[in-house]
Amino acid sequence: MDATRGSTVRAAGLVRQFRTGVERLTAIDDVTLDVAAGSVVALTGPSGSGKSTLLHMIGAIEQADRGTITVDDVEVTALRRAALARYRQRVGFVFQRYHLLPALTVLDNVVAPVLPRRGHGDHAARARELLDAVGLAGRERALPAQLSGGQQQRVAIARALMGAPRLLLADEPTGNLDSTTGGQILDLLLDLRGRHGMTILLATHERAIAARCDRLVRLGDGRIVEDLDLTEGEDPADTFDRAARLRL
Amino acid sequence: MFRLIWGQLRGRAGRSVALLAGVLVATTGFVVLTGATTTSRLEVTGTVERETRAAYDILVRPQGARTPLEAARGLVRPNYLSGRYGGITTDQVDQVAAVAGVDVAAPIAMVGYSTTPIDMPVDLTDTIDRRLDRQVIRVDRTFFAERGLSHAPADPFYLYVTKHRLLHPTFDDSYHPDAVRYTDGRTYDTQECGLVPREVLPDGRNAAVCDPGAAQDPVLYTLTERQTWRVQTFRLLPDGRFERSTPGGGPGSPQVTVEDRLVLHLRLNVPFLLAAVDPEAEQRLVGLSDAVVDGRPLAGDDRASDNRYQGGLRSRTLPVLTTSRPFLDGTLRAGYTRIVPGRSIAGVRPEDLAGTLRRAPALAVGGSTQDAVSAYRKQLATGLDGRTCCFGELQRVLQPGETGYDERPDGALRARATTIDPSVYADAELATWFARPWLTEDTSFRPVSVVKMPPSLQDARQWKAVGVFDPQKLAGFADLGRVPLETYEPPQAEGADDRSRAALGGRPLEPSGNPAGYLSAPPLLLTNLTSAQALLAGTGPQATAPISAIRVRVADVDGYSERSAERVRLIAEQINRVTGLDVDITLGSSPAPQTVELPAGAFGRPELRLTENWSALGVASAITKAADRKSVALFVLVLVVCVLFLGNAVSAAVRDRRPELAVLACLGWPARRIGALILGDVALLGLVAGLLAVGLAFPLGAALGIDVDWRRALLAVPVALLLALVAGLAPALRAARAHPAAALRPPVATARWVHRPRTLPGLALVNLVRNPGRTLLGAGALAIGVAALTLVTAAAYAFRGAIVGSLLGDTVSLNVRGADTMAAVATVLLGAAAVADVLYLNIRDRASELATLRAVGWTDAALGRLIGYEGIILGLLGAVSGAALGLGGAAWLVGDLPRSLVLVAAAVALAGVLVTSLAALVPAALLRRLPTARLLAEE
Repeated sequence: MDATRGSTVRAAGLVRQFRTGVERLTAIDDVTLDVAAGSVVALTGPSGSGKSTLLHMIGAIEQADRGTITVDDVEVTALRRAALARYRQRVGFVFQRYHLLPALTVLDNVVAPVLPRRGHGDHAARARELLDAVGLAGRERALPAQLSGGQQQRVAIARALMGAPRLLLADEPTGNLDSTTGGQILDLLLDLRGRHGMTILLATHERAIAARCDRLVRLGDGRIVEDLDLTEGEDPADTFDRAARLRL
Repeated sequence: MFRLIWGQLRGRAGRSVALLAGVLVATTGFVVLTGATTTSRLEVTGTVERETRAAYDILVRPQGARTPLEAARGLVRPNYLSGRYGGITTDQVDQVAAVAGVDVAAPIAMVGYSTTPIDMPVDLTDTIDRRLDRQVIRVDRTFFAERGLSHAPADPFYLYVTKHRLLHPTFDDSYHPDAVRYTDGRTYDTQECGLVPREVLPDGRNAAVCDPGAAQDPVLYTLTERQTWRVQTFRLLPDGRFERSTPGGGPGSPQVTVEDRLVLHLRLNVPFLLAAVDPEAEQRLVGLSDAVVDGRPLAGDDRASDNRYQGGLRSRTLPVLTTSRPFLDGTLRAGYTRIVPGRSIAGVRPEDLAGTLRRAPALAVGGSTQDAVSAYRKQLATGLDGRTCCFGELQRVLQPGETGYDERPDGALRARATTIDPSVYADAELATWFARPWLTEDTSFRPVSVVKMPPSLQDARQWKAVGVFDPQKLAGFADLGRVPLETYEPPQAEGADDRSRAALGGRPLEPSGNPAGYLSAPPLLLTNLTSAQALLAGTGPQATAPISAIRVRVADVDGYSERSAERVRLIAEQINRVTGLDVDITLGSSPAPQTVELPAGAFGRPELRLTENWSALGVASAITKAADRKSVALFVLVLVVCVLFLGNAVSAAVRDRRPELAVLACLGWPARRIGALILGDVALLGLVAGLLAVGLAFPLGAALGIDVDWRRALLAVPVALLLALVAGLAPALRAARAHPAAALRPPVATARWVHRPRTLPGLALVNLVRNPGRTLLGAGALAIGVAALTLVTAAAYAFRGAIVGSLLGDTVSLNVRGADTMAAVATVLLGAAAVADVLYLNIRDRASELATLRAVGWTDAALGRLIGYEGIILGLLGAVSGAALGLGGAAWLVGDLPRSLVLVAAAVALAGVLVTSLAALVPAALLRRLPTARLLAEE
């Protein structure tokens, strides 16, 4: 991967099915998607439309039943377990419920992804930088339970950035936050994109959040039902108009 | 509610099966293993007043070897081993030697008594009148024994001394009694008078000087030495020397011998007891090889030597060590009478000799007295290759039994006289070379049997000494504080009243020459077991089980103490268990003088009242069947560990169901009903497990060789039920008391103790601290198992099979049986399983955290290492604390901390950690199956 730019993502013919009792539910149904390096793509759609599943598949948390995912020049769907783990180390993942380790301090949570590796001193220094970048300088020794939802999500973002990812996947990053805090988190993500040039895919059902992205991909019943480029001829600041136009 | 319970169990089928398996394993194990707790226990009673120690601590004898007196009064006769013949196999000796804690296991096989002649030469040179042409010296023998109280005259011996020429028989390869060539070149018939010289009479004819001994030889086995008589012929040469015939020396050897002195070889025939020992064990027990004073020590690989002669005669010679002290009270007095016959006694038939000489002038010319001990020593002094030393026959081997007693009102014992079956001495097939001791006609106090060996005419049997041992040089002999249990100690009996003391002349009564007499000498001839087996081959049970007793010295016992006694008791118990033989503890035995009335003998000895130095066994011992409480305790530990294991599991299950229970509480279910729901779950599992255990107990018991009856098997149901209920009680109470809102609490608390984990082990430690109750439960279960195994292993290895120590003033002991080891190992394995379960529950509770770590790039290997470290830390915590507990317990018991004990504890702790680490692999393997995406989505 190019360290100065975000990753390109190409999903082709992706299918993912789940068995629920005797029925078979198709969560992702023949999805093909190309994401340009450095873009911020919002995946939208109603609950159960396949947003999270698609993100999980791109993040190699979920396996595809069919189809391929290629990130930069790496075909993720062809990787074996150990290579998948190495791939995940280079992808940042932010969850709706943060998924911080409650027993660890903020700093240790950020360091957690690289804990099995050597060089703790360097890791801690970098973690402090990241915490500083997400606005949590001075809270390193706090436990997750002592933080607000927004702060916890900032910690989660810092943790996702620990591996210097060129692809950041965020699953409803603002879903558990109030709109103001959600807006701040998105500001943070866009700011980081600006600084690090990473590609960001985020699943959201919030119009205001999706409207600030470069591209909007709407899913319905596991299929892409709409794919809009939001950067052409628009004033990026006019989010309300865009949101209205997008019928979000 | 039953439907709800059933639904729960079905809904969580995997977990239910795991819990069921836990209860099933523990219950079946408990029921089957407790079948092995009923064991032989050696109960000892009594106290020891004197600090005494024999050369051995335990006496192992064939089953039923105890005499009624021993059983009733704990009294053992001196030299009691002399009356025991066989009953123990060499395999059983090996089994005894293999019992941990046995220092020496010295077998002894009493073979029996055979007649050994003690040479008593008498010099009659000065009794003759050199002026006389012919003279006869009559030697009148009188035998004395038992301090002279028993005495009997014997037929006389005659020495015929003539100045006339003698013709001597010559002897070559061919021997025909009816035509023996004499020194005059002619042949004579020797059938009537034997190979005797012929005197040349004044008329030129010659006549044989008959020796009645020649006629007695074929029936010697029926005679006593009193009945034997001889006529020996000498020629007084002009130079004053004496010429006599010496036929039978073999081709080339002189047929005539000329000597300066006129010597007659009298004999005292005595019974010597032959016993077989393991020379190496005997050396270690009493220093037998060190006590050898002439020749060489007996070796374990010495073999009986077999020879075959022309005519089919075979001989078997056993190598033996012979005693330097025969411990016999026997005397032979000889009176000499010179008779001057009117004419030559040549041609006089033996039966007419006495009448012929009666009318001749006779003059007493002196006499001599020789005692058996001095004569035997002189015989030994001639050297092992001397003419009379040291060999003896084993043609007829007698086995006297035990003396019977009647108890007198005053507590004294009266020895019961018995009649010897005359056929014992009348078996023509067991023809002997020597007449039997004169005292075999005395009153007998022991039944006598004869070993059924092959006919001795064709198979000659004898012993030949390779060395001489001095019993007084044996360890423990004649110590001041000795206990008369020593194998080689001579029995002595003092007069118990004035009359008896006066009769004995103030000296003790000693064994006479009667193998069936009251006092019997200790083994005076020792061979090795291989040779004894060669001798006894084909003689029946004794050939296959030749050993009479095993004397066992226990390691690490030095003098009498409560602790030593307990240690000895444990070893004795194990020996009994392994071999089924009778065991007696001789440690702490002490002399117990016993008054014995000895009825009058047939040769003048009056009735005597004697004090005999019997032994009182230090502790009375009896094998009883009892449950081994230590084993039961170990098996209960299995259940305790199982309760901890199950308790953890049920707690986790309850935690899983908190939302559901909260809903029930909100619906108005009373707390006790919610508790009953939880208990119902585990009770149903327990019931099913118990019923399955009943079915499993029989085949498992049969496979392990443990007797499991149906009552014991049925015990599985209540045990399993109780186990499940005890394990479920605490979680059920917690569930019943919980507020519905508690369901909202996270399943795994955050760590109260904030630690900065910089490494995987550090993070593992943090994870364990987050759930201290569960961690302690798992580690505790393992600790219990490791502590039990440490104690069991310490007993087996550091303390050679048994830990003996003091606990609150009482001597207690811990010895190890196979079932105990099995239980301890089972406890450790269950402990390891409990640790694995803790890890599994931790993984389940922290599944989303682990999924998160995987999502942020942790490899499966890193996650596995994390769980592995948790397992190792738990294992270390449980194993080290358990080993420390076991170490402390053992050290407390024995009051010492020997290095070997520390090593054992360290080894067991290491084993515990290893087993736990291996067990941790199972939950670690489950990590791969974590549904990462689902877990992340669920939260």
